[in-house]
Amino acid sequence: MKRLFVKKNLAGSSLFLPVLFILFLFFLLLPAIFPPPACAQDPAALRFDDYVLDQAGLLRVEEKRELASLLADFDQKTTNQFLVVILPSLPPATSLELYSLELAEAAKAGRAGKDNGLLLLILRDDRKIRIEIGTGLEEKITDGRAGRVIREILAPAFQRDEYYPGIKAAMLNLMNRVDPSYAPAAGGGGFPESDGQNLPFLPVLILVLFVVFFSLLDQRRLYRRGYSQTTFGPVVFRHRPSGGFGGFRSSGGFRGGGGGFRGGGASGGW
Amino acid sequence: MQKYKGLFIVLGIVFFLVFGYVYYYNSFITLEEEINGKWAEIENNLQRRADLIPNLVATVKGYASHEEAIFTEIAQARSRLLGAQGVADKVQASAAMESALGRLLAIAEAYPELKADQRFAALQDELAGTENRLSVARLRYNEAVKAYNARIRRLPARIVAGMMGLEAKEYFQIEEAAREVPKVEF
Repeated sequence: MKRLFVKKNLAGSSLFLPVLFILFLFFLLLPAIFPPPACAQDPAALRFDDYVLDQAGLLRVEEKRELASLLADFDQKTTNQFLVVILPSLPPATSLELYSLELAEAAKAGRAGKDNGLLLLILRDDRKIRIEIGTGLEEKITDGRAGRVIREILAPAFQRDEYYPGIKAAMLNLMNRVDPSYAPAAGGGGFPESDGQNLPFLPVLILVLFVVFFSLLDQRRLYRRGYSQTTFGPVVFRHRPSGGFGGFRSSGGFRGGGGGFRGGGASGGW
Repeated sequence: MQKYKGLFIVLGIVFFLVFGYVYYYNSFITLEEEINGKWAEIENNLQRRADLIPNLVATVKGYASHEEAIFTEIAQARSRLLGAQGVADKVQASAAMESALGRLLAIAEAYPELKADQRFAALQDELAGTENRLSVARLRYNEAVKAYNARIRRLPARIVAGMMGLEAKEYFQIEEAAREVPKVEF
């Protein structure tokens, strides 16, 4: 035993293992230290925090807000998450169908179990349109219907440069297909001053800090008593809704519920 | 205590081996089920396409009844696809079907009245949607196969896979020739 140790030392390898270990760690962490450059058009790089994402400037600010509030209203009343994404053009080396599927999945449109998301993708310069339909909505919006909405509502309106009216009419048409009983909020989707924006910031912040503080305190106390923290954890943290709205989200915000897509929908152009 | 040292070591090794076997066994089963699920999705879409075809053919016939050759070709491709067994066979039959459909749609281009038909437009959308779902299903199936194949070939999982008699699964691959089929575009 002792001889072995001596031998090792003689070989001058007392530093060898630690160095090897550090090298190993380094290579392991390499991707974390130098992350691969994120492509601007990479679906994962886009931030889906609203129902409408317009990077091509086809919609005016108030139009975008109105559309978002219509979609948010529809989501709240029927749980179906419809999104509108407008981009300047398709990134190279991808197809419209593949890209819109990636977008829909990155945005996590629709509720997890219901797969009831829908994504309308508009590419300004390519003059292309795609309606991506969540697996759970395929029965209600068949590919043929989606194609018809593109051909008869979106394309003619876009040809007249009427982007907002076209998108809104298409969305209302699709909403009607999904839930005929749905009636847009007063004024046909007119934007009610969203209560989220009027939510006073400071009191909310204080409330949040309060909750966090006490939940930490709570956990520590429970620890000391020897309880398992999971059973007695603060309600706020345990019940994270898988979709829908957390406690303090404004009504304009969007949070994907993780619905599934499998390539249903239709493509078109104008 | 010293007396049992050997026994403990042996027991430790046995436990380690059994644990490893069970672990890999379960992971293979999970991956295999994943593949089966994705394959079922492909089959669903092949079936859906086959179901759409009679409607499509009927609509085209209403405007272009004299294009007999293409109708027979489609009918043949369809029955071949419905009768195909196994991955390789289905891949081939599916490619033949795609090429026949491509020709049918190319023919339809020559009939403005047909193109203006609402029903035909809707059927084309359905068909394009099915093709797209099929390609997505194919992609996901191939991803699942890739994960599985990589898993069973890597050591030490490979040893367990060998004991279970598992083999690499086939990809759903379309030959280059078949890929040049006129695409269903709108």
